[in-house]
Amino acid sequence: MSCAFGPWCSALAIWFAGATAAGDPGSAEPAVAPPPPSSSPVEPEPTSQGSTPPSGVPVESTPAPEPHDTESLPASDVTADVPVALDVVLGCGLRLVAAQDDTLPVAAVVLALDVGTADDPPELPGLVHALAYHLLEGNRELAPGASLRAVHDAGGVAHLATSAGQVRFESLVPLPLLSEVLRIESVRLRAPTLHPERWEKALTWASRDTRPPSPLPVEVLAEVHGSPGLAHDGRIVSQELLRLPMDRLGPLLAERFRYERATLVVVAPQSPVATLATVQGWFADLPASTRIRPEPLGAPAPGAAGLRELEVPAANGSTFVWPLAPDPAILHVARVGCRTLNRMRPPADEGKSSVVRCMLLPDPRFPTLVVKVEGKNDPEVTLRSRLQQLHDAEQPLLDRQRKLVARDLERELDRPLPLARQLATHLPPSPAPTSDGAGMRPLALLTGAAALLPEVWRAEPLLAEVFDPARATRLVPPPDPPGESATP
Amino acid sequence: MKRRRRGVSPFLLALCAVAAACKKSPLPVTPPVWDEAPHTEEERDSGELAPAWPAPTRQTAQNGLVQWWLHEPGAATSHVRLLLPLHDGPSSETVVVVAEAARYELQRRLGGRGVTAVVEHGPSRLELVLHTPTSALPAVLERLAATLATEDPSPGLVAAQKRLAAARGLVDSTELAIATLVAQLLPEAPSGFVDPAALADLGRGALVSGWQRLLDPRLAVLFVHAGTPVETHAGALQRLEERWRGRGRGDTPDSAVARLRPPPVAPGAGRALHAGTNAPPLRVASTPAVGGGVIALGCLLPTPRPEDRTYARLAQRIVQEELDVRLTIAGDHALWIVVVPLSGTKNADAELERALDHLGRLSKLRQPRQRLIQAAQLWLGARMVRASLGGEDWTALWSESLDLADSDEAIQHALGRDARRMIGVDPDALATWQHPRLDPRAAVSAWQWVVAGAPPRVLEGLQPTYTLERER
Repeated sequence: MSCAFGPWCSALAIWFAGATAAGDPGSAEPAVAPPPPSSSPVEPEPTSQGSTPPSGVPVESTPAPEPHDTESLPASDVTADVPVALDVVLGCGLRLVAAQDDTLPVAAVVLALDVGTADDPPELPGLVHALAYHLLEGNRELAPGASLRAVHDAGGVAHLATSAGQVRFESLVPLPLLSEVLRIESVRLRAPTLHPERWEKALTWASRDTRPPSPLPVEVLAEVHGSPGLAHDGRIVSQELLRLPMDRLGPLLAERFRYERATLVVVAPQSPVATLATVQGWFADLPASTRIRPEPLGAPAPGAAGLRELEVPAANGSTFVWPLAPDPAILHVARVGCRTLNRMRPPADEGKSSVVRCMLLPDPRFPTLVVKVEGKNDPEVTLRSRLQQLHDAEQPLLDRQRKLVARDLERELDRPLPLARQLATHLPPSPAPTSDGAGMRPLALLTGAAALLPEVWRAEPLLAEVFDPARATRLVPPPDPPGESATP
Repeated sequence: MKRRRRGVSPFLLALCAVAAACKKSPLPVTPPVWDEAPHTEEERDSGELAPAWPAPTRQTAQNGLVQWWLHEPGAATSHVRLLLPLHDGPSSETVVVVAEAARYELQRRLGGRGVTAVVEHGPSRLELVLHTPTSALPAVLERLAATLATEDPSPGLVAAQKRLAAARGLVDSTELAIATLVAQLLPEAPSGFVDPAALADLGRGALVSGWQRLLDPRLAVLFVHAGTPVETHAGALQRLEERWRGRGRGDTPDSAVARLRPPPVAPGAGRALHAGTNAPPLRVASTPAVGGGVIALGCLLPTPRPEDRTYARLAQRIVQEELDVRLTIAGDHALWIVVVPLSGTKNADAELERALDHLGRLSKLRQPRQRLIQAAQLWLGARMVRASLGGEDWTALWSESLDLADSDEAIQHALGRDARRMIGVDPDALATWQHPRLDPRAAVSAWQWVVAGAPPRVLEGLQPTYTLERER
């Protein structure tokens, strides 16, 4: 097992194509023919949140349309020439996003849950991380490790990723295994095995996971995002977890790992409609339910003077932090802005020693922008000067970075697994009711790539919104205690 | 003792009675459950384990270059792969310098456009690969033409020679063992092993001559996997055709398979590997190497029919589960190499004996049908998944398909047919094919062996049992 994929996630990755031995021939999961596709329709039209759904009628909670959502491109743009993806909520509350990529006979499947280490109970730090591993230890339908083994025995790869805001089960498999992987995802969260031995095994795996250092203290992230759950090490394997009784484990799992919180992303050679039919078949026996959206964040209001200050012991006043909305368009725009800031020449009055470094922490629910300013001048003055320069939309440097980010994004998302991961990690809110879309949405809107189109870029002042100084938090040292500041 | 004999007697009688009863009314013969016929799903799946390519465009340019254009509408990334045969070509040292010089020049000129230039190796050929945003493909073709048509490549070659000489680190013992073994099995083919001293001794004239010999459009084959159709790039291709010309007279086949396929190799008389004097000597690679001692043993396998290639691959997948086996298929022959690590073993000759016995046992084993299907599915599935993770480069798969095809027309469907043959393989036919061919104790194949990176203590341990032949 090896770790992969970015600083934010832990990963369980086993590449089985090469020199290692294949699994026990007798241990492969038997092939199970998919049940016939469900005849129950999947309606993209949601009902109001909290309403009691009639039995068998699919519903979803209604998110308010976001500024960068379906309205960004007119519905008339959804033509045969525009790549589209199916985006619907099934009756069981699962959101399904299906896209087509027929370059090779492989399929990427990602089951993403809107639950992360930020959702750990205060008395059980590390719970969600450990529970994610526990879901690999089998359930009523799957033997321990069977979900991984099925993928590996067919030459595929599987990953588990956890972060503050999300847990993802990812796989890239040969096309013949697609139906089997969808079956696995349809039972993954059901009736997990509650046995001390399996729990102990899960904790062993969890304790071996890597714990990359956070570029910011977790307390700062918690404060900036207004989410106290971020203020702890989400990958710790504490004594409390080791002592957790099995009768408590079940409810904790059932509460957090639910299909109503999950998004299933499938990128496969077949049409999205065909994917939908297969998925419907496997998920048909789940009871109707209402989709659960993550709780809104309590981001603090800007300070009176526009820039909020947060006292942090090791800070020196040169670091500025922005909480970002978990919207792919905003993240791409932030990336463009960051690249531009990092490449900007300092104005003559700043001096050569002035350096600005921008960094994006793209957590699925808690994305954060960090800017560090070094130099002789006041960091805030330097920052405001650079941001003023950045907001000049005509400057060639900014336009070049926009093109580069758009180009790299297009190439990256031209493959099934990166596309599925992007869609699962940063997905705009569920679709608003539409009369003509029938669940199909332009792929560029779902991935956020549309925000980098020249016409959209010019029309929507996202850059100014992302880098608004009034929304930033400056990390400053705490004031010296009385009597200690005087130095002889 | 007496009482015990009395106790056994009734049991024996009962056993005889059962045996007699069986003899009188034999049980119906049922096929063993472990060798059942494949499910229909498995048979159907085999067709989905290879890419469904659209019909490619093929043409031979006036400069002799054979071009294949694979069009995938809308692909954001395009791939350009120039395949250059190495048989009858310059030395390995010259080849690496020429390849590095061309790669470096292309990367330097095109890196800013998001292009990546890499060098890959196929069986007896070099592959210069460019991965590019589709929007930059015209610039890539223009730059490729300019680079290949360079009048005086010597400055770039000398610079590449210096870079390579500076970058040469310690040799890995496994690589060294395999390279030495390949040189023994295929004396006429480039071994792929670069001698630092020979690299430093290369003169400017030899390098330029090697450039002209290797980068000859009359020998080369170009694969392009593009998001745009070939017609879009007619101008750039025409300029490539006009600017890049081979020197001197040349008469080369029009078929890509014929150009790139290594010449037929006589497999040689069968020789078995064992202790004793009539076995081939165990060659000791003299170059210092890191990574611990290893022994590489191998042979050439004749694979004239597509079925032979399928058998070789399946046998490799099965043996691979227990031993480190490498297989390279190049049309009508294949290289079968087994790597036996010696590090951590106190008794090297016993370790080698164990590996030889193990190989012999595996070669005699008839595998059940289901196990073969599983091995085939793992291999075929992993091939597609690896290609996806590696950037969905059709030219890489096309190159692999070329090694399985007997003609240019067969390339498009060679991977798919290979997949179907692997899934539908007959266990008895495979068992017949692999034994005694893959048994190093049997003198059917012409086995050779090489030890590399082994400390003197290990060599001393091998000396009494085997005939060691130290490399000069």
